[in-house]
Amino acid sequence: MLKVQNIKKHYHVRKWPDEAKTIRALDGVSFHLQMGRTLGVVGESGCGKSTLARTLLHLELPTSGEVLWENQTIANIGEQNYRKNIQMIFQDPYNSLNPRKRAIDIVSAPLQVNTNLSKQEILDRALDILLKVGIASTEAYKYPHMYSGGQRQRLGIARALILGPKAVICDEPVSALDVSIQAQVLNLLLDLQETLGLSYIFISHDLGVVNHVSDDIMVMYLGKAVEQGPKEEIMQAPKHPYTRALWASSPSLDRAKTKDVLALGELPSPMNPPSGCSYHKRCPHADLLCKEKAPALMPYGKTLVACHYTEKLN
Amino acid sequence: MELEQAKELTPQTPFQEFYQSFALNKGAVIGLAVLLFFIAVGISSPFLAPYDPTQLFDGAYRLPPFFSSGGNTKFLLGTDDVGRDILSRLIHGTALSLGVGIMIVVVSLVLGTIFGLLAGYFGKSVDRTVMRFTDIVMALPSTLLAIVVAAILGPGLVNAVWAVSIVAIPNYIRLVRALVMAEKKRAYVMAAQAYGAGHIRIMVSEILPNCTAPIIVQATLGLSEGILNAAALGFLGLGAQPPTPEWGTMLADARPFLENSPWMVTFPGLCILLVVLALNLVGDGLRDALDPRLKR
Repeated sequence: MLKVQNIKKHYHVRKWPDEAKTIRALDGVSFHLQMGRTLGVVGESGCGKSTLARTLLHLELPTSGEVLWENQTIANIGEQNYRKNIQMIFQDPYNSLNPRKRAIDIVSAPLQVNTNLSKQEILDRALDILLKVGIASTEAYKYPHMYSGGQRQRLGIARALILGPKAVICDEPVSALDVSIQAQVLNLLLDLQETLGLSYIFISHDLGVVNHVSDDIMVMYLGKAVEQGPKEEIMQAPKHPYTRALWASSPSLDRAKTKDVLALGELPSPMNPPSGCSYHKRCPHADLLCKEKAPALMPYGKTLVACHYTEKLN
Repeated sequence: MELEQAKELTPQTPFQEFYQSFALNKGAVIGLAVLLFFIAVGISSPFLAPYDPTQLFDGAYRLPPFFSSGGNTKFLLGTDDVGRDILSRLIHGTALSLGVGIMIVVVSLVLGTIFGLLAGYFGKSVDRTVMRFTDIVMALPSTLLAIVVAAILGPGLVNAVWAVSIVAIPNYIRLVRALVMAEKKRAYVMAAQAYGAGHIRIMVSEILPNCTAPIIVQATLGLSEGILNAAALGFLGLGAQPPTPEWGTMLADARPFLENSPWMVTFPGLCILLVVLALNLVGDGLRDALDPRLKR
């Protein structure tokens, strides 16, 4: 349904007196999102997750590469039609709702922009979608600050769904919520996926959450996918040293604690990425080859891995 | 039915919250009362004033107010050098001076908000162009610039309004631009972009409502400044022309008689002082009530 082919997004930053530099926020990412499936996107902050979301929403044009919707380019199907098909749920429900508008106005705004429905029809649809996300029509006329965090995130979900999109980008939709509310919102997302047949691109750094919702997982590092494939494979047998490091750093009851796979040092600046494999400075297995040559994303078993020593390490 | 019920359940609206916070500020309430008094006087001036403001009374030149020796209860606040009743002139001048202030605020507020919004929202070259213009205006002393503009346009009340407005515009541009730049980064703007809202919709219906509080405060304080500047132009002879009973012009006319007939400057000056003071108190109260950081 949504096909992303080798998209790159480079920003040129010029800060006097330094020379102009290129930030490779996205450096060749490809995936294929199928109807009704969920792609989990995992990575540290600064790995290009947000740029990916902005590019997919067509708020940023990719430097190169193609975003295809049902095998058509966005230019072909028209920006407005594309927007009806892909919407976004934001991380911070305090920031993503306009504090001066009532819930009902926030939720019906996408219809006002994109359709020619009458006021009554828009109101009916907005109340309907609010009911679907669990907000009663008697509650619909309040301002955002009168709702709890979980309810606000429900409003954000209602706003994303009112145009009837087929794909929804969830940018850490539960990371700003209390743990007790996270489960409610996640289950709501899963229920909606089932009833409406939605596809999700689920961006998160919480591996437990990603494991719970995803069908496929893509692990990103400095604008590149280092490993992608079906959830079971990646969760149970991570191949790439970075994936292993991520997995090892998250607390778990099932896995034994392993210190030797952890990443060394800090995430390098995307303005000045290391030569060769971008992970080689932090990888415990790196050698000269890694320093000189960037590995390509190669199939290994059911997954794709970008490492020179996949076979040796597994 | 359902709709009404929902509205009843709604807790404090932002307005109620604001009202409670404003009512606690005594200075602001007094200022508002004084202001309302002047507005009422301004509206009812044709009925309130004992005489026509331009009527000349033969032989009643520079009469002192009724409470001092030589005063006359026929002219409560005395008469000026050509025998016009000062009280009537003040009452008629109220509407004029307040109206001038409001005109100045409306003109500078509308233009300043539009340019500030454009500069803050689009940034880059639009921002640079607008901000260099404001820098140029702000680099010149404001009164001097108003005098220059008024001199170019020619004396008169309407031209004085334009002159003072142009001087006041940069304040609004800078304020609105800063607010818009902060507001633009918030996620609800990106959400609006994501569902395809146009630039104008995002600027006017998403960003601008979140910038209103500081703009209202600036407008209130700008009103007092506008009245003062208009009065200053009137004093210099570039504003309202005699015999128009504008407060600043009355001051200017009374200047030669400052030592012999001090009441001629006292009363118009007092009116300007009271209105400006009341406006500043109200403006401070508005700022306290609208800024959540200053709330107790």
